[in-house]
Amino acid sequence: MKRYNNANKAICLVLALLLVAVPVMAEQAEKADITDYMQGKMDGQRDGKSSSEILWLAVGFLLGPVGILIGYLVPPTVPADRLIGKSTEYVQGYTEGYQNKGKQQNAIWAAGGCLLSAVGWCVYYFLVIAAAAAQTSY
Amino acid sequence: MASIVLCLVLSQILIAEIKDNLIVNFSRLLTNKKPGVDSVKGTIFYQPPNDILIYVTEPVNQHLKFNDKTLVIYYPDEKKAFRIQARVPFVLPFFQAFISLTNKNLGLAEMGYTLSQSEKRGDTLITRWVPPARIKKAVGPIIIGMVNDQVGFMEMQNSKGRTIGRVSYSDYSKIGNIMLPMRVSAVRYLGKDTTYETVYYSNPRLNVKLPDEVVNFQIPKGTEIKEVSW
Repeated sequence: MKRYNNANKAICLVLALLLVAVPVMAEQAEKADITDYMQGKMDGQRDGKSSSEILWLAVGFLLGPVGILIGYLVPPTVPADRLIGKSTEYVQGYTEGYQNKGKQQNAIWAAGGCLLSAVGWCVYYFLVIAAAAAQTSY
Repeated sequence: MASIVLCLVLSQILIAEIKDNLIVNFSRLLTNKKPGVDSVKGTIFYQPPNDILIYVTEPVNQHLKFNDKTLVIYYPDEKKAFRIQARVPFVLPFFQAFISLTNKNLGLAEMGYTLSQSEKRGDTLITRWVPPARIKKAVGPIIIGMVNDQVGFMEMQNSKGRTIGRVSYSDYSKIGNIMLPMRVSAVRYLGKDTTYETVYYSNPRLNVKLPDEVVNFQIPKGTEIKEVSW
């Protein structure tokens, strides 16, 4: 009888532990997936910042608002060696983060170029007006 | 910007100098701002001129197939894959730094670089190569150090003369008729971040028949594929 009770107790203890352990393990597994994805996204966003700012400044300068649109629509190239040995969640996050951040940065720099171009044209316009005004006054 | 330039230049360094199939095991250690070291192990299958297939065994089971502007990343255990189409070719700097050494000057002359300076320091021959005019504003000189007719290091500078990357080669081993380094270490100065990478190569096999599943690599049916276009 005693042995039966001890066995029962052992089974109950194991079941109780499993009831606690399984949700904890599932939560940890879920956290690991989330962590991998978020890490990939952060790394992608960080790397996406280092795309060619001067190039996009020139695009915005030359093409104006169209350059800004192109900057946002054209995705940057992903450095492939970043993805070697990484999990699916990391690759998913990285490519999204790199692409979105890179596009944002491209658009921002293109906008800067567009603004420079606008300022340049304004200055040119005023110089032309001033020159024309100076001529008519003679 | 420096990393893009570094990758673009490295991608031009003659990969076609190895004209035979190559299989080599690798162990890659990468350190950057993040704490800890990223360690990756696997096998590289190279089929000239452009096909590279990597079987990663640690830390994940992963297959990567590079072919010019297409990269396929396949996870056999999860039956998931990413197929990425880019507008420019994918580059693998760590592998190209390895196989570029079949050409003594790393193919720089063929790329339009000209030798501007050469001097001997002890047992090391230091040569300085300046870029062609079309890329002079983007990249600076490349400095190569050679010991006993083998490349010991390659250093790349930006147009202002600041070092943006350095690759060191050691533990040379003769494979067929060529000498290849079994250890390649690289430092890349990328803005505020610096990355340190060391790759150990082992069991290299040149001019071998690649396995059919490598030559005819395809994503198995039933795999969840995410298509990505750049």
